[in-house]
Amino acid sequence: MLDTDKSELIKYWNSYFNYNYDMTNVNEYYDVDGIFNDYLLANKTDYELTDEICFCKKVDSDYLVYYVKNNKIVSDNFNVRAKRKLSNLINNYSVIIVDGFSLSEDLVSNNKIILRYELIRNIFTSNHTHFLSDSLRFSIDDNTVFFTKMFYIELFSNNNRLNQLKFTSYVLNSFEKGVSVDDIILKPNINVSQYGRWYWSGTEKIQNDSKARNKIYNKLLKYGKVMNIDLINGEPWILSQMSGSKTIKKLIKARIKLNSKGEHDLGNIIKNLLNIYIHSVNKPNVANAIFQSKNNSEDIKKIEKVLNCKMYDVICNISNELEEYNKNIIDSYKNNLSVTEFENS
Amino acid sequence: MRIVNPATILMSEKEIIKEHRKYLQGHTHDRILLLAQGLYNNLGLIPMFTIHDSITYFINNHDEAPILDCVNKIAKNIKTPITIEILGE
Repeated sequence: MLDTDKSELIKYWNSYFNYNYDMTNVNEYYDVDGIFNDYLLANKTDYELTDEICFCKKVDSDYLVYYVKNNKIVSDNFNVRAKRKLSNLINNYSVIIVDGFSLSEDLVSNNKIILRYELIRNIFTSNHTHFLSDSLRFSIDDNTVFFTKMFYIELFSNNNRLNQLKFTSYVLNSFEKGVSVDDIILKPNINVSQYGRWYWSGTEKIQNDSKARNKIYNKLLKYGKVMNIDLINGEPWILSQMSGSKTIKKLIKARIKLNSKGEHDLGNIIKNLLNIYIHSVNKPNVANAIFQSKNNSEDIKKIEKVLNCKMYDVICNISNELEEYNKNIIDSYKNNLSVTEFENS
Repeated sequence: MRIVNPATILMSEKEIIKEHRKYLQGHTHDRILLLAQGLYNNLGLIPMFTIHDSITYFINNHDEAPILDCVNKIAKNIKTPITIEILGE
């Protein structure tokens, strides 16, 4: 990264946080996230702590538990076999945050709230930082944020969000605990990406291999039925809800109609148009040229007939409908360093 | 969901939007989990796995009609179009 870029970043953050950080402190090998976390660490302030929360990590075969004692964060180490001692400690806390592993439920009383760190981080930052809010700004290397009274209050300030977090933590734990079907064991390591997807590894490759999925289905079908639920054009549909784009909704409805008539090839053209256009963020003339070059002209004519509109006009309409939404996103990043979407989650 | 991007001052408007669109991945997965939360609260069903914007359940030999009814009600409630496939009917 250029020094001028670093200088611009620091100037921008100094103005936002009202700090006066010195450019010479910036490590020249860091990327933006690294510099930002260093910046937050250098400008740390004091917070009141709570003894309602503990934080558990697994390091090799040991459990490491962090908690607040005499208004200071301390930690205890437990061998994987010392489960009773671990249980006795963590049951002193109403909220147990678990980082990177599934905590066995028999170690914890029913009235405790178990939350996964990866999911908390995605709800509050979706990024490699502990900048949870303007009032709760910490470096990724500093877990103090989770012991602050302010975080505890924030956690319980939104019931829907808390219930979703409890449920998704429960599901993530249950996936990682694993399940066996005859000779197949599904016991994944799950990486929660900053963009919010859950990537499975270390087990049957069910996410990207239909043969592996079919193998599981065939085993399950010996004992009962399997139900698959799919979102139809999930990403475009959600974008249409956030932006209010009527044209995206119209395209998705047209796709559903085409699929119901068995015209899946035409339906897939609409699906691909939406997915590619949404992620390429090209101008309408560029997006239209790419679309025309990748599809058969007869198919395009059929779709235009269904939509009663030329494809170029369809793309222009989407572009216009997304304009205000895009502007709000850009303004929010520039003014708040963040964007909040779906307030309840 | 809050999305932090401390680098936007260095990015063009197109780059900001392009990066922001990647978070649609998380929104769709969250929507799938919201559906799963409804199913768990109503019927106690726990999924076997999720694949980005789809979710799979083992429903044993239960009558699927009330399950389908429940899934469709939740999907309607959260305003999300879905397809449902039952294997082993």
